[in-house]
Amino acid sequence: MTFEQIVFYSLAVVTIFSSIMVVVQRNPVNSALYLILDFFCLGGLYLTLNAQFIAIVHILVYAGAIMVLFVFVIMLLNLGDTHKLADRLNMKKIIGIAFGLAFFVELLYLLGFGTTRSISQQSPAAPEIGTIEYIGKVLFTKFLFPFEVTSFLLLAAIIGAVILAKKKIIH
Amino acid sequence: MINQVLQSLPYIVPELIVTGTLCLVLLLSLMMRKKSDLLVFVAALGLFAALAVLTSQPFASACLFFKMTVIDPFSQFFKLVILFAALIVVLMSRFSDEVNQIKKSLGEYYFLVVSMTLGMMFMVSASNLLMMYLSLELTSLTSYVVVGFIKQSKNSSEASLKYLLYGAFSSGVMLYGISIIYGLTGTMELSGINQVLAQGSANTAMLLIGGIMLLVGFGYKISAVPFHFWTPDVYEGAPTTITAFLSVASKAAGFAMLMRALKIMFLDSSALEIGNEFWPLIHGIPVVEILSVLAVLTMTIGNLVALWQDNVKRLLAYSSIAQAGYMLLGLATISNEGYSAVMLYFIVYLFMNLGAFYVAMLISNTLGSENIHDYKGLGRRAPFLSVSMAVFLVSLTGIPPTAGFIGKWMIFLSLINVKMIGLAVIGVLNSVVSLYYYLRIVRNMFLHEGEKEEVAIRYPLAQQLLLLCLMVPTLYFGIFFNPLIELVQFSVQMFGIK
Amino acid sequence: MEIKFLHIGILTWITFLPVLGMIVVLLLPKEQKQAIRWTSLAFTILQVILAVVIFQNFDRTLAGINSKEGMQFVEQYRWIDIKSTSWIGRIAIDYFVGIDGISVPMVLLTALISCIAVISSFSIEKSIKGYFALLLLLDTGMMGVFVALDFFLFYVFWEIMLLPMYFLIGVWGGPRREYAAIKFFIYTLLGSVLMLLAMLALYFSVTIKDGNEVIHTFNMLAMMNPENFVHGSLLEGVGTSWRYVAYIALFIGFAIKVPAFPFHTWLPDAHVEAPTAISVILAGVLLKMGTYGLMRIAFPIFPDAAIHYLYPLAFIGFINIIYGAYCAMAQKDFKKLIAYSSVSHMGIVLLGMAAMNTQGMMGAMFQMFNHGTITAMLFLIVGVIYDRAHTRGLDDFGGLMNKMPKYSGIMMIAFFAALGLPGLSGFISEAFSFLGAFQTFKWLTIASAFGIILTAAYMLWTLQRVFLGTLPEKWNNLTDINGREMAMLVPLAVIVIILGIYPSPVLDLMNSSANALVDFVKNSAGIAMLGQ
Repeated sequence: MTFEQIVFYSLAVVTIFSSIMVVVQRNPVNSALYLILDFFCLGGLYLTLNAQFIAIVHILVYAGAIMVLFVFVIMLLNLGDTHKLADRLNMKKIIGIAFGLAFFVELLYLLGFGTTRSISQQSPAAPEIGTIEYIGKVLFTKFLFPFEVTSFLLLAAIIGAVILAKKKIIH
Repeated sequence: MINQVLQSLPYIVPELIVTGTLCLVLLLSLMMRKKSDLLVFVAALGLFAALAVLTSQPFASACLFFKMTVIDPFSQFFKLVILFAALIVVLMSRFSDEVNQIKKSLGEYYFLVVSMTLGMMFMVSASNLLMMYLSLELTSLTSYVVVGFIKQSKNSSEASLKYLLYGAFSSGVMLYGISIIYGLTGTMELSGINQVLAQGSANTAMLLIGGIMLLVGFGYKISAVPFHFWTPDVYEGAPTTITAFLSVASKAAGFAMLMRALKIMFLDSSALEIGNEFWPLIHGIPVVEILSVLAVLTMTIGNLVALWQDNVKRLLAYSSIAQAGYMLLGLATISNEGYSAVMLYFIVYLFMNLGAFYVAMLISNTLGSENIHDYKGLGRRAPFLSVSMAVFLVSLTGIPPTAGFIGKWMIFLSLINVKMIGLAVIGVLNSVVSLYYYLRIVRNMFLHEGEKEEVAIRYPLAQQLLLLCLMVPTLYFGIFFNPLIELVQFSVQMFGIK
Repeated sequence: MEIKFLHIGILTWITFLPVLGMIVVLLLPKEQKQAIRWTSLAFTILQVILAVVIFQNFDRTLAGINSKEGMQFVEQYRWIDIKSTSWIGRIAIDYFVGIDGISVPMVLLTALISCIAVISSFSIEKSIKGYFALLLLLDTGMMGVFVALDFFLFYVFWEIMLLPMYFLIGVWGGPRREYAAIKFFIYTLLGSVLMLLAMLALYFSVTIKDGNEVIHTFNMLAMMNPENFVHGSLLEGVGTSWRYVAYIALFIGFAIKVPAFPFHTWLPDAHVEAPTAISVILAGVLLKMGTYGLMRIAFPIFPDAAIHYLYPLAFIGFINIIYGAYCAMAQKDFKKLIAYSSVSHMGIVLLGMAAMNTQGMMGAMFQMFNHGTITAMLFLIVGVIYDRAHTRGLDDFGGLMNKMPKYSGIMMIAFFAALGLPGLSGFISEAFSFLGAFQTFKWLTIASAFGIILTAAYMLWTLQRVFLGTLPEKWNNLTDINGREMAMLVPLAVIVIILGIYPSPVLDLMNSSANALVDFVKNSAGIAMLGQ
């Protein structure tokens, strides 16, 4: 096992663990904290893929800015009795979990089965691929169109968020 | 580099016009809050201009912006459908009491409708998985908001939240699928994927998983069973104009994406022969089986559940699920003919479904109800409205001489052509079942006397004219469907394939 | 033979005249009730006049069936023409109409019955504008079915009929009208979608030459020629299982309309709930579409399957006869009784057809015509009494003979015609049918003939219950039939009597076609069998 693989697997395990914890935790603040851990690990994974810039941006924006806001909002909302948030284990849930597990096992099997042949075309690991310069170039040439579409997506999302925040609900 | 961008621009003039329109609408709503008619006018004019440019554009076939999107007859056709639907919906919104009650944020409403249109236009021409995902999100995000923000009721908020959750989940799954396919093939561009797959080196099982995950995203957009659970609640909770828009345009965009992805990714072009009704598929992927199962489930469950609905919008929601099932039948033939049948169905569906929702909206404007029992006696109170509703519903059932028959006819024609007799039988039996619930509305309007006194309901001329614009094609194309078939047979051509 | 007015052929006129009438009716103001009624009547009378012109000019020597040359008053125009594409080829659909000996009696019957139905509808008061508009649309649909020679066109007309019928029963019908209307609609739609699939399968199996191009076609006449079937197509060959399946699909579609056992359950409901005029149309014309469809489409296109399934067809006919008669005997509702008698009488048509010989076929075709006139009379008779007494219970009446002599006279004619008394038209057609059937299915025919006795029994029993005995007190103020009712009953009665004594005017019309049909089916099936 090479050094890269060791790094990858340890990061992957922590990522999966923390994302499970995000869902399982009853205290929303704890969930949010696990989410931050999750983001950090994802950032690490980006690094292993030679995407330094994205890794940094990811940690800065998601773990740094957005999650801080999240935690802040959660604390402001003061959700109180967190037990209400989780409902009891019932038939539906059991079936759901069973299906989910089955699917997961299948996935694992297939992934294990196919890794040797299928993931043959890894991205060429050139170190310059993750630099700001390279990303900037690609973003404004090859990916110009998706970039512009994304800007509209964000515009729509912002306006949507503003509208929804203004809305009053009559019960 | 910059040259290619500049060369690509002229091809997306309709999109640019729509973009301009949405900016203009946003600015206008900031500056002149009270002039709602102006907003409608600007939005409608912009959409109309885009439509006009689109139809006058020579049909070109090219890929644009570094293979991110393409322009071809296929995408032009769906843009036509989407823009037309958007135009009708904007005009409908002008007459909708539900929409007009939110005087303050009307600007945002029209902004969202137009940006949804933009997202759909990108969807139909996307030829890259990344673009597909982004444009799908653009459409979805705007629709989550527009579903929820108008009515201040709990229902509509619930619908919006449900839509968001299902949407987020399915787009997450879709993204995962995209990443698997990217991992397998090393590219996100559809024809590139096709080339890699054609070499046969990719792991079939992994490809299947990736493909199915991708299908979840598409299935959600076209509300195919079992990804349909959001549909009834959202259709019921959303303002009727938006329901109509989602049921026609959003579905059209989803179908267009699915059709393109299916054909370009999995067609084995080396084995393609001219004159062969089947397309050869890349070996090992059971596309036909998956689509057939999906189609049968979708139409059967949609139809059976629709039988018990009392809310007209909810009923039409299930009916639109069932209609998606018929269209999936066309896809399951994986032939040009099936594709053109689906496209034909969309033109027809555009008129009849928008029409049905429009009538439902006008009725709920005056009665304040969408309950089927309140439709009693409408045949006498509002004869023109009721007769046109009957026409739309009969057309949705697929009985001549309405356009809906031609749509179904083409689909069954394509099924029989490739000898899928079993599917055809299930399809026609389903349309018999659907007759029952469509007729329930007709029955209440004509066969029952109203409980209250029968005061004639009058509708302004403009509203009736719009109704006429939807009803006349529904009848006309039922008898003279030459132009429709010629249009779809031309438009079925996609970029990159003979 | 060609007759044209304003460059439009007579068949187009006779088919679309009612639509013109419908447009005129829709333009009239709602309050002008008399104008609406008389306009409708005028258009249907015009239709009858055209039918008489057709009757006069019809060449009785031409057979028709499978050749365009044998068809008369033919009009063929390109309706849909879509240029060829590499994957589906050219789509071309014709507006193709024409008539031969099978269809001409039906055209006459449709015109006549429609006109009488309009007269009978004069008593309708509830939103009559809609009523007459729908009635006229229905008329076009029926006429179209009988003149269409293109399967697509046939199907369109076939379906156009459904919606007006649904509304006519559902809005103007009796207390359980909704149930009856939806039942009728769903049953018939079920049949017709199966027919649709068979039609599409035929489309892909059959090609004809159009100029230099070879194209698929919906042309029925082309479908009858085995040479036109594409090699390797679904319905190619003889006696293949797909051909049987397609035949059965077509058969179910038509059998529901007939209605043949076990698809008959919609009929009593529809009849009982429908207003009189609509019952008349239902029994007089609509039921014939089923048997007409079998003769025009199912038999000649699938002669091998038709021959293969002759016995089951005859057996269904037998069940219809006996079962219908038994059910009729048990009824207490006058209208339901007539409805079941229709089931029984249509069984005779099926039996006659199944005989697959000239007598049987002639008998079946003539029985279609006669049943149309006789049952129309019977329903009108029920309508007359229902208008006056507002009940149809057979046991509520008695001794009407003295109170309503004219009415009773006409009713006698209708009843005796229905039970097949010699000298009236029903006798001849039943005799022909049974004679024909006897040659092919000896025992089955003997068993079926038992149905005649049952028919006589319930008819006479009904006569006795309604007309003889003592008149209940409450009916003392019943009046005899009026002029309008005479106007619709007397022409039918005259036809029934004349055809009973001198049937050749109608028999001559269909003689050569019936012969040709039987020969064609037998020969093509026979040749096919030899070829195997």
